[in-house]
Amino acid sequence: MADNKEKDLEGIFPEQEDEALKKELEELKETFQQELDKATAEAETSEEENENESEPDEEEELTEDMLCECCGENKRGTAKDPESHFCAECEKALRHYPFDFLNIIIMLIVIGFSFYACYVFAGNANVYVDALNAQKAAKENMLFTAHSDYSKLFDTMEDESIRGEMVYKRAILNLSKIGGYQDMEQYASSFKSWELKLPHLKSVAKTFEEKNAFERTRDACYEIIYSNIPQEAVDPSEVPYETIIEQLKALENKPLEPVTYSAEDIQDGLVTTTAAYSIEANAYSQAMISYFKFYTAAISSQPAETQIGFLEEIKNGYPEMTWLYGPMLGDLYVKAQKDVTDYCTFLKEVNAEDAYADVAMATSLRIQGKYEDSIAICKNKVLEKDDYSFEYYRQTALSCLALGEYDNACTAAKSAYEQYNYSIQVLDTLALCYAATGNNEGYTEVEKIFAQNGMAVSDEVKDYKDGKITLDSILKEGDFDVE
Amino acid sequence: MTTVYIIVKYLTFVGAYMKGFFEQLSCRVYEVLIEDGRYLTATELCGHVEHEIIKKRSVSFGVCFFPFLFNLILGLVFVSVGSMNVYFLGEFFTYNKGIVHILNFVFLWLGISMLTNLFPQIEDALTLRELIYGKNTNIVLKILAAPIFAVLYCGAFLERWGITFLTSIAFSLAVPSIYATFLPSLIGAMQ
Repeated sequence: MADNKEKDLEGIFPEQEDEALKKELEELKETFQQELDKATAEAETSEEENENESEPDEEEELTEDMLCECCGENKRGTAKDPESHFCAECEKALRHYPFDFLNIIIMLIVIGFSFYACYVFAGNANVYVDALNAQKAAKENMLFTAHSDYSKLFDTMEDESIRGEMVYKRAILNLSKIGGYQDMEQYASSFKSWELKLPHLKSVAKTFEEKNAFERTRDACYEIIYSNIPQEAVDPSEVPYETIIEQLKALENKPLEPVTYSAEDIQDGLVTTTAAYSIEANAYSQAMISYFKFYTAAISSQPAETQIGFLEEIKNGYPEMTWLYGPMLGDLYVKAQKDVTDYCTFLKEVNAEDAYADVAMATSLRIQGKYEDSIAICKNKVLEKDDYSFEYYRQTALSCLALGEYDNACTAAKSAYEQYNYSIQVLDTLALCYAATGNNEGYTEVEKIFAQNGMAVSDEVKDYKDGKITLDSILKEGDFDVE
Repeated sequence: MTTVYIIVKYLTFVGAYMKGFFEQLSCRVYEVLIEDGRYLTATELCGHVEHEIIKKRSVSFGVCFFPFLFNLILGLVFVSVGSMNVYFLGEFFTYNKGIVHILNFVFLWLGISMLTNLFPQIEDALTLRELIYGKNTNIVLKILAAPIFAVLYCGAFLERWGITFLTSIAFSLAVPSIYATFLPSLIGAMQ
């Protein structure tokens, strides 16, 4: 039955079966395709979504520590240096770090200014050199050279329009060492009056104070001396020595009265005349008082020891003031036949160009009978063209006379006269030499020169010419020199 | 001490500025990476530029030495004029008008300013020491570099404490004495 049924079905629906199957398969295919498309579309959407979701994940992986410190965008590290804090681009730029425009401008200004500084230095170089030379001379105690250098320097400074206060300061201090208080006046206007109160010019203020004290003491002392000495007095015994000394001593403890300025001196509350800079001293100068005590002793012919005592007061209290006491004390030492070697060395230490030190030494050696040594010193100094050459020639003449070399003495004395013809001692020495050589013509010539000036040859020389005294009594006794 | 250091740097700001500039220039020439190129920051880097750690000996020497040299030259020029005009000649006022001679004081200040800011940072000096006096350096080089290294090294420490300000003032005071030793003979020889 079943077989029949199958046969019936095959026989009844063979074409219908094929079509249905075909249809079913197509439907299945379509469904599958739809599902596939749907799945593909879903998969694509899912991928896109996944992609979108994964991007923020990647950014989270490159943290701030991994970004370039400079730009903050790119990953740090370079091929050469993976550890670098910068990306390749920034690192390259930072290795050629750019200059700001302002940096370059400032640098150019400074460099340009440095060239200008060089120009200023070169322009002032001569002033620097002259000032350095003058300073060097002053440091080496060549005080006269220093003074001369400073004087020349001031002309140069004026030409260059330089107002160098420190140079004026050094010049003033140098002047004070050689007693050039008068010359200080011309430099006083180089300072503003208020500046003298400042520390760097304290020494100048002190020097002006000393100057003021010196000048006012000098004036006071002269007043005392000349008010006590009769104008006609010519004899030393007429000088009231004790009275003057008492009055001079009284000055020592007496305060100086302040100077009163006239209205013309004062402008805008500042004293405008040079006197403004003569800062007032409040006490008399002890050195100057001692000097005038010596002066009084000298004009009243007090013993040499008394005179030496007054000068030694200055030497002990103010040793640097050799310009005030040096030659006088030296003369007194020489005539007292003291050894002046140390004293001359000391004078040279204070002022290496103190010509008197060598004169004193030559004189001292002559008095001690060391004529050859004395002549040697004089010869050297003459060769140095010293300002005191006339005196060295004169000392040579006296030594030659003592040695009996009259012709040489005459030659030296003539040279002394040629060098300096205003000295009575030089003329007397020349007359003595002519007398020693028997040159009456020369002697008469000297007498005429004296007469032209209302004077006469010294009694000592006349006595020698007349044969009343010998050369030895002139050169080896008394004051060991022609009077 | 950073306060003192910064005060000194600002007092001598032109020198600090020029030092920073020359450091930057040296770094540029040697292609050293600069991290901060500001010269006058109120930190311990004031007057310097912040740069990478240098690993090469010659570069380290160049970055320390050339800014020192350039500032030294400028400093000597300015301090010479300023010191000679102010301390030695005493040209405080102008010749004609008698007013303060500002230019001379500016020269002096610039000179002191430059000389105060000569030396490298301590870190750079220490790096230089490490590179020159490390194990791999030839003894001859060590000896040759010793004088300039000593100056740079000691100077770096002095500058750290602001002492170079005092030393440069002292130097400016000594300038006239230094010139006194050779200037007259030099000018004499030239004439």
